[in-house]
Amino acid sequence: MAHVLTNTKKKRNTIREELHGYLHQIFFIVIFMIVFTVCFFVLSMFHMQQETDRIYLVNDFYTELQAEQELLYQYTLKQDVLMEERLDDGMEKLQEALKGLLVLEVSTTFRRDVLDLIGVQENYCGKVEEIRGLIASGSKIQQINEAYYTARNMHDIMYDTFQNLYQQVLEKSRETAKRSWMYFFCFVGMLVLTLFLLIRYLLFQIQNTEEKIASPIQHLAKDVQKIDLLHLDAGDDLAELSDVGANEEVTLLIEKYNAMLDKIKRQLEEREEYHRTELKLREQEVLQLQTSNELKKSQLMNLQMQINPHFLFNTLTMISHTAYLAKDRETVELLDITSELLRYVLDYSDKAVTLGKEMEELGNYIYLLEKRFGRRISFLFDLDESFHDVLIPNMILQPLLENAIVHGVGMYTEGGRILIRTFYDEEQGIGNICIVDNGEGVSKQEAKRIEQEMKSNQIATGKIGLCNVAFRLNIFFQGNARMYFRSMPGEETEVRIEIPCERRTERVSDCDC
Amino acid sequence: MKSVTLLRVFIGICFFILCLIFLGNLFVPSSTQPFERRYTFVCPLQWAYTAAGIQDADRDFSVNTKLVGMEELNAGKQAQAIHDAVLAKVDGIITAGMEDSEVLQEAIDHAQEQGIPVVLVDNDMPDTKRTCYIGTDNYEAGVMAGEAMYKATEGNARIGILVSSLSAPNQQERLAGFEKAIRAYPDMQVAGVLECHSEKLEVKEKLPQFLEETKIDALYITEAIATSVVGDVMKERQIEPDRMRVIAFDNTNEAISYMEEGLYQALIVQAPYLQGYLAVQTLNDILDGNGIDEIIHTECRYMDRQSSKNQEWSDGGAKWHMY
Repeated sequence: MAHVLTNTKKKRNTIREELHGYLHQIFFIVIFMIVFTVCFFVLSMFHMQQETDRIYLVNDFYTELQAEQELLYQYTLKQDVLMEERLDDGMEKLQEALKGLLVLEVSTTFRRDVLDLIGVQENYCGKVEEIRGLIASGSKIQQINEAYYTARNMHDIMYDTFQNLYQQVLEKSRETAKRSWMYFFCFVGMLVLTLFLLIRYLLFQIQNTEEKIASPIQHLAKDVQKIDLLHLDAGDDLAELSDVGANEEVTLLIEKYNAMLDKIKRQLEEREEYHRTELKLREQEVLQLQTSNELKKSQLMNLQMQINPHFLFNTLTMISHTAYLAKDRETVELLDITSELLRYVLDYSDKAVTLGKEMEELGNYIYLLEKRFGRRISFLFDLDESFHDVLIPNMILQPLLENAIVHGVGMYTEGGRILIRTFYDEEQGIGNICIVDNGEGVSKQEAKRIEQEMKSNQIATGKIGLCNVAFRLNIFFQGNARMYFRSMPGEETEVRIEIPCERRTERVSDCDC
Repeated sequence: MKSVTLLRVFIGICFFILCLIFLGNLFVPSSTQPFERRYTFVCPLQWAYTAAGIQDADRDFSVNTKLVGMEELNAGKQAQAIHDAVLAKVDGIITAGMEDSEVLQEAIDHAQEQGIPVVLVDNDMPDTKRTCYIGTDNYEAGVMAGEAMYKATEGNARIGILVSSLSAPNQQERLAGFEKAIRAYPDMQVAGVLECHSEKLEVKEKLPQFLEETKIDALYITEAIATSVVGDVMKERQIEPDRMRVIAFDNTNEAISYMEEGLYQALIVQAPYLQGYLAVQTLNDILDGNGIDEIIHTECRYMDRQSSKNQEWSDGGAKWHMY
């Protein structure tokens, strides 16, 4: 922002002001030049007019001289007294013409000649008076003629001098004309040169202004071009525009642009900061999730370890061997199945199995249970095998079945019944697994509590029960599986699991064991 | 920025010049010089130095002298010019005298009668009523010429003399002075005298014959017009400068160029410039009523090739009225 402060100190003209300045300059120069030139030409014309007037004056003198000569001749010839007045008049005119010539400033020689002429004219006057006297006194014609010829001689001298004067005046006017032409050419030449220089100067000024406008705009454009506004990044070096020599409008543009750039920069930085914080937060979340997963895994392990399978397995094998030695074939068979069951538990712990596999193992378990309970409990199957290839955590159904026996039909001496049913809900794309028994069931409060426990998604410590199953399903299906508990005391109790899955084949069989 | 400043300076200069031109056109210089008195100088056109002296004097005393020039010496024309000047009521007349010319004498007397002072230069007419004579002391000039001849010929020469007219007093005096000077040297003798009446054609016609007849090896010319033409004759007849020593009067332009070529040994130079200047000054003195001498002698000068280089005056571009 420092440059803005310095800018305000400097006096800057707007484009309009500058253009006005040039227009004024041009206007005054043109007016001045025109006035100057007109004055010059008027002066030159005045000089030439003066020359012409001189020539006319000299010519006037000649006219008077001729007239006077003619009058004198007529007067001498006719000896008419009436003509005397005209003669006097002509003489006066001649004198006046000479006086007019004396005022002219042509040259020293001219003045000298005019003065000589005046001298001759005075003598001429005297001679004319003499002739008049002679005529008045009635002298002899010879005398009069002699006097006339003397006057005539004087007239000739005057005529010669007039020719000299005329030549001098002409020469003078020629000189003046030459001089005027010379001055004219010098003047016009200088005028053109001055105008040329002035125009050059103005062009310089205009160029200067243009630079003040165009150059900063060009800079602006170039700088703007450099900045990729679409892919602006906080790290980009957004160089601020310089405004050297710009005039007011462009300066304003640059200042505003710079301010805008500044703002964008800050906003970018803010956004970046926000982004970073968000990223950090998510990382933390992920870390938290991982920790929780780890924890759950260890808990699962712990649960499975409670079974202590190896011990059991070895024991079973030993018992089986003992039974074999005692040739108790039934015990051997039972033990084998139990072993198989155990192997399943051990091998597939921690692994997903298909629902089919789970069912198969459930079958083994039921075989054992039938051996134990005999006719007291009957097991019914209603299976829809079209979605039995869906993967589920192992040992999901066995605890449920055990529950059904322990808390349900286990007390019955006869008429106990457990139904294992799978069906596919076409509409919602959900596979259902139900285990229904006709045991006594639980009270409503109890049922609600169990339901709550399942939903709380907490591991019921030390118990392998509904909650355990629910928890495992929840983890496996990431909360998409549902488990329902429904109990009608004295009639039936149902545990239902809903698994989101795809149906692969049509329902094949409806088995009844 | 620098070029802009330069441009401004140029524009300023141009504008200044423009103003100067304007002012120059505004004020037309006056070529008229003021003068109080009008004099007329009547003489042959060749007298440029006298005219120069007169013009300088004009400037110094603020008077005006009209220069009336004639192609050659002609007493009738000269007299007529004087009469015209008298008719024009001039304040003074300067002219050169001419011996045995009654018309001229009559004209000069007429002017004096009309109250116009006449000053004669170069050639005196003592019989007229002229107010003053300004000119060379011709006798002294003749002596100087004799000495110059001795110097040029080393005292051994057969000398021919070319004069304007034996009846002219100034010519007689120059001759007398010359003869007096060479009398001291026995080996120098005058073989013959030729009159040319200040006429170039006459010189060209008579000189070759004169040379053949007299067999001279030195020539003394006492007059300006002959001086201006003898060099030509010598060149035409291919006379070697060694065989013909020439001492001449008056430093006309031709005479000086002949001297540069080695045709003339020396010139006796009168002081026409001084005569012209003095004539104007004298006229002023007369009109102012100051006392003056009737005869004023101006000095002569010996000029050879060395001294011709520092010529003292020029003809000053005199403007003549032709007559």
